Amino acid sequence: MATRLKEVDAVLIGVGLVGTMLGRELTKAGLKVVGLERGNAQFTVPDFQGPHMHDELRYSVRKAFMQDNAKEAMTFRNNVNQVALPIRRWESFLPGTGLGGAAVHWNGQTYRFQDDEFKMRSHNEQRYGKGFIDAELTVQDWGVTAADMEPYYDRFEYLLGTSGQAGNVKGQKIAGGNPFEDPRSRPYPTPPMKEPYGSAIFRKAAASLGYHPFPQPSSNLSQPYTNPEGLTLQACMFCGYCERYGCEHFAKSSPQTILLPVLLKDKNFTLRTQSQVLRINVSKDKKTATGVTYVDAAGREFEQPAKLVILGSFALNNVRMLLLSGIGQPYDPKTGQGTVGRNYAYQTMSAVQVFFDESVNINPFMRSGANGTLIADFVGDNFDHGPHKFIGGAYFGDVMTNGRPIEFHPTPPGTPAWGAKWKEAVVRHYNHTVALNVHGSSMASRNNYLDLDPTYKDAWGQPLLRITFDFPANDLRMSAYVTDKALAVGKAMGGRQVAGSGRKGPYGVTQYQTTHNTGGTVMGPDPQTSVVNRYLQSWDVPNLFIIGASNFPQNATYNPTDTVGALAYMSAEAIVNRYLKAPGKALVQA
Amino acid sequence: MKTTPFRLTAIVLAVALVAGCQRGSHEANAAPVQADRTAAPRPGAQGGAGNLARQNAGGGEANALGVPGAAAAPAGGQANVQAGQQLAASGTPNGVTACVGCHGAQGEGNAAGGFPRIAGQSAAYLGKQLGAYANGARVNPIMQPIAKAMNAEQIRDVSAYYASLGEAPGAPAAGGAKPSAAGSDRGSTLSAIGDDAKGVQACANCHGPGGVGNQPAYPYLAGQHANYLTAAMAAWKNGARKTDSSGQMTHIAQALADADVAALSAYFSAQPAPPSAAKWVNIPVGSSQRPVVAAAADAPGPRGAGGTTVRATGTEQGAPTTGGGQGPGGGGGTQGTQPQQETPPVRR
Repeated sequence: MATRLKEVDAVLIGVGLVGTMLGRELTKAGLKVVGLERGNAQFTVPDFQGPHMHDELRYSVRKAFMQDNAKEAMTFRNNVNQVALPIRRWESFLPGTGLGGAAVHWNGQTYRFQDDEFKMRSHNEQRYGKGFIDAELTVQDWGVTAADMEPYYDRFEYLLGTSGQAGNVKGQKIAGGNPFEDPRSRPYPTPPMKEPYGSAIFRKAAASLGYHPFPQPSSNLSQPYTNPEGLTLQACMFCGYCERYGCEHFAKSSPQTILLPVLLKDKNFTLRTQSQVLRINVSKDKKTATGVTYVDAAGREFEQPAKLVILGSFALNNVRMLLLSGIGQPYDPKTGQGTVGRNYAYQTMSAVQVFFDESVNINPFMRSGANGTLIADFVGDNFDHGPHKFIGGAYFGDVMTNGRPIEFHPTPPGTPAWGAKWKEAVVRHYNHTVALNVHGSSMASRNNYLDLDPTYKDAWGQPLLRITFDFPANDLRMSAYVTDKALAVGKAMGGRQVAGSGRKGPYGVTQYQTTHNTGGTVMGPDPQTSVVNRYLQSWDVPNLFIIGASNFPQNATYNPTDTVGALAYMSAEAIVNRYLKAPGKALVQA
Repeated sequence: MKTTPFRLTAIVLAVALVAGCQRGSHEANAAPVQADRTAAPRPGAQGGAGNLARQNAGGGEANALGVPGAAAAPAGGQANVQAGQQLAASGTPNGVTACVGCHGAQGEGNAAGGFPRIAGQSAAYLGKQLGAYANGARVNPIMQPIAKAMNAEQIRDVSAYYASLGEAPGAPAAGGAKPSAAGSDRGSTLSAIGDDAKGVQACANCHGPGGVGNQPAYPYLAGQHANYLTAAMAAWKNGARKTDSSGQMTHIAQALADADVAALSAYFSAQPAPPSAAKWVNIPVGSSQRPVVAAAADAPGPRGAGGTTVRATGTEQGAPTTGGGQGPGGGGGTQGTQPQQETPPVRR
């Protein structure tokens, strides 16, 4: 029997990036807030300090910062004709856990989505005609524009202290920045990071082919920065242990460095770690959330009543929490009806490797999670898709993050996978190889979705989330096209050998690609095709807000975190300024 | 027989990258791509008075200022250790005084005078400091005139000489105050984990466990004289030393209280100095040779050197830790370790 606790004004499910931001905004507005985090508390000092933070086996291979899939796995299949099996070891993507969530072990790559990608269906139909988009694709508009999002992007980037070179401030184009970006209201808070040598080679080669290289916007900072919360971050030391690791230098923008020290001092805020939320409780008519039920580390069950519920866990877990709680109508791929779990998308990744002579020393170990140089010439609709018969795009560039000894072993095609020849090739190529990352959009398809697994359960006896996903043909065509362009730049970089090809299906979960899992609780103007309105308020349960990459109707070209943070600020502002004045009311009429 | 490139190239290139990775600095080398890939940027390739003035005007990209040769042409060719030894012992006619006068016959320094132990520091680090004294990135009334009187070859040679010293792991520096019980001591705590309230990270992050250094870029602190360490922190704090463009050392020195600095100085000075950077070995590929530098008998961790060789299996719960399983990375992970496998994974 669950112990019923005293009601609070708001409860946060997950205290990662979204939970921390909402916790701060709501406590500032005077609300009593409880944050429930399933993982452990962790801080820069002492938890992220060297040399143990450089334990590749622990963090990269055994994935110490990730959801414990001995307790909570997910199942996966490519299509509805297969039987899904549990993912026993995270490889393709890495759902984080613990205080600060995935924003502890992220890379800091901080991009805004383009306006045309917020209007994915209407823009492409207008430019290329109604029949241009593949019939299987269920892409749709977000219901917001880049201009709507700008103030929230701006606020979020200034919270993070993002280091970058603006390409367009209030319509004024600025040389050296991304010429394709939508207008921003002011420059980045800090200047771009130092450019690694391989990135400089890429920049020259890309420019020689007429492209427009620019430095990657990074939330591993180029210099010390004090954010509006009064917290000071330090400069990145290029240690090469960024993604999958916590930052030891106070240099990466994570909840620990940008918000938590302030939030945890607030008497209106209570943090409970090792608190596994089982479900959101709803009223009999299913129109009001009454709080949540969770289990603590000792196995005791608690009911935490709350007037307002913020669901801000990892995108995939947001979807599962709704399904476990019976909120909203689950998506049915046969009929296309239902919204929860609909429009699950990913990211279409490929890579090009440029193998240089031994005279060219790349020093891959001196890297940051978000340094490097890339081009946006093939992002979104920055090029004419008419002849190509696909929508979406990819950025590519030298944005290598590390040369870590267990993980980084570039060898040319034809090298044996083990043995003396392999070792020789690793020694030969380790310091003389540049990998170009081709980071592509992922379109929603009627065939790809999330639901509850009929067979497998977690440690608390609840069904696992089931992922049904394969790459839509549209995205494979896109990947082939853009990867060819990356190969051409690779050749212009002067490598002795250049290898790589576009992404090929089927999708598999045994190879790392990206942790950009999106969709399933999509935002939009129409309750028939979305789970939340533009303020991320549930259409079904108005005192529930669902925030994260699960709101993306399909995935855009760029990395998602900047958009997640901007959405969180947009939602928080609507809650504080409008919702709290009339609690329980829908902010948008369906 | 091939040798691993790691150590050989790291020394030259760590310096090269520090000098060369300044955004925009590659512009100075506006040769076509073809030329660009034939050689890594050389230390000091971005030198020249114009560049220096620009950096100063821009708030001082102090790291570049500290690179040897930033104000003068870098020395090419092999270091002449004998010439370095000669200079260390006797100085030069144009006013470079003998190093041994203050730094001791074997580079052991002088505890009372606060003259640092320099035996076994990396040549790259020593050269960078001499360059910094010469161009003003590091202010010191004794060292500045000496460094200014040295030419690039002399800096190269004397740095190589001192890097070659320090045969065996050194004894704790004489005169270093003994910290209280290990582990409960403020100095060892700051060194190992830092101080969250002050926003200061562990010294060990860069300077290695116990301050053994992370050659070539990060000097050892273990076995260094307490007076010197305290003075160095004061220099970081008051701006007399600007050789860290990240600003981390300045921030740390400003955040720590005098008592913290004293505790750290006492702690590091009581640690044994590490073996010479120059004694680190390159191990031929495929050989069973192991580093000759054995860990101290009471050091924690596996015993890889000497006696029993620790061998890993290269797998983790049966999964490959290398190869195809590591995949071409995306924005979030291990990147480009292998091109995508042509053969799709087995479907069930």
